[in-house]
Amino acid sequence: MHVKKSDQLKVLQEIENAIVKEELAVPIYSSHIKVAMFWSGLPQAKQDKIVAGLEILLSESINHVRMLRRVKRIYKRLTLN
Amino acid sequence: MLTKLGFKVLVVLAVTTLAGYFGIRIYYYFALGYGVIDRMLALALLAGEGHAIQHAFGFMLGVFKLQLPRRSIKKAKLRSDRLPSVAVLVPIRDEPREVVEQTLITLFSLDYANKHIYVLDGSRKPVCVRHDRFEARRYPFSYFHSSKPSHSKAQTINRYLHRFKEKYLVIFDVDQNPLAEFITETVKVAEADDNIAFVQTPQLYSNIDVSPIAKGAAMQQSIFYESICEAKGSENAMFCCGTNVLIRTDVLKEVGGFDENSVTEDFSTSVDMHALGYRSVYLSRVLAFGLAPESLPAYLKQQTRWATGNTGVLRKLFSRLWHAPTSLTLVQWWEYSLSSSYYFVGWAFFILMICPILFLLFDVPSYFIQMKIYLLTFLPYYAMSSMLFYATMKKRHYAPSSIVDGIIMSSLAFPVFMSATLSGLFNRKTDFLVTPKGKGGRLSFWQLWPWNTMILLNAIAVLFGLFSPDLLSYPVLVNMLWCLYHIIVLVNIHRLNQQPDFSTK
Repeated sequence: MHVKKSDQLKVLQEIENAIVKEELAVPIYSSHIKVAMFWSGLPQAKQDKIVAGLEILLSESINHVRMLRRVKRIYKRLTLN
Repeated sequence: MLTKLGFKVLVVLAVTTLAGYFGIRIYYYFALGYGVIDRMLALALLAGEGHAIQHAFGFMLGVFKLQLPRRSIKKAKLRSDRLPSVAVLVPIRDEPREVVEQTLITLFSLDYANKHIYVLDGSRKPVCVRHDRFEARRYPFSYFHSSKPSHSKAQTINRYLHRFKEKYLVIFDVDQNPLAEFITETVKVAEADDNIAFVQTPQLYSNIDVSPIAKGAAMQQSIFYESICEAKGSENAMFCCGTNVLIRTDVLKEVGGFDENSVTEDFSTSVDMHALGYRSVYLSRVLAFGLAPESLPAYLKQQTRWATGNTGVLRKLFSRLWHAPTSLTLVQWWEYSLSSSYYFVGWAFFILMICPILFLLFDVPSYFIQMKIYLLTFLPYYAMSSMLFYATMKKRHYAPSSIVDGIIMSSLAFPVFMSATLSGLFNRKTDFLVTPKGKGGRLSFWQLWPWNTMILLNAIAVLFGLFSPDLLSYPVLVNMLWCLYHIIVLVNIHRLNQQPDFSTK
């Protein structure tokens, strides 16, 4: 694969940003949203359903982080070596 | 749920009964013959009630305005290759490391290409500074720290203001976690009109499960942002709240930066911006999550700062009214006078508490009115204004039980409001107090002396009433009822004075 060095670093930075978002930002937002459900005015049953959905997304997020780390490793191996 | 027409009718009824009640109160004050001391006390009570009525009227007007057709907020289309530059500022000062770190992560996730994040460290404690340096280096932010600690958020920002060449400044307090679209949404509004000085968005506290204080404070914020600010925004009278706000850099530089003489620099600087003819916009969309004060000491500290600062601006307003009465519009004068005089509610509550006590203990009358007239005027006014308030809250899906703590906390803050309004009014120097986060804390029984004293006085007054030969007379019964009501409000201080439960976060 022939990619300019600066572009390679840019791609790696973007992957790193995505990892930080998934790994660190998503849990912060979901903890806020879980509590902020109170303000929604929705019935408790609906709120519980949304929170359960959030939990699934949160666990998916952990998978995303693993995948992104793998992508980063593969990309590094293919381009920087 | 009430329709728009229903709200309008309710407002008209509430204003009519309010005017009727207060008109009768003024009439009886002058009509009935009483001694000098009675009259002085009665005047204080009338002033206290007048303050409550002025603010109730302001709220009613606001609710009415919100039922009228409004122009929607204009938004410009942004081109991804020509995004205006934005400086994201986070002034920090001695806050806990984990709170700073969490905010930095969310700033890093802001979805706007042409931005630069500046961490402005005004910390005093070297330990905190070291932690902050570490965090600032972990992410691609610019980090500014002076060897001279700053005394306020205004000073921290002003110190570096000349460095910012970006078109807009976005300011976040360190306990605010913005959503990814924050900058895009606010820039769209600001780009629609060059005359817009700032775009303010609401604060939403999400740590409500930590303590009743946090939930009550969150409720107060919701009432403020969802009812009061919306009305202010519809009249170009919204003021800057210092966080979750986008400001046009040139305008802030034009007014000479944030007002460092005020501990509510945001509120004070808004007056200067409006006076120069700039507009403000209130964008009623939650674009950030924040943290409420979690403990009673933290809440009272926050309220002290707001009360001191806002009342201090009252002096600035008087001076401006004298020298440049046309610098603000009539509506802006009205709205600024409401916001800067609000904290006298502490005095109003104190006077309303002390008058029944003085009547029952010393037979000093302060409420000159005949009982039938009282029932015919006060009860309709009280019923209508309460109905309007709860209908407004119900429209927002808030149950009365959720709102109660917020209302009680406003009354319970009376000692700090009384002291802080004096500091603000007479320009007594106070340091900028950062609301502590994540620390907890309680007040000791002895530190609660103002509340305990008032509980004791009210209880003694009730006992005096019970043993009074006129027990069954209307004045004694009504005053005893007021004392009992005040006891119920005051004892809540002991329920609210508890350690926050951080395990829920």
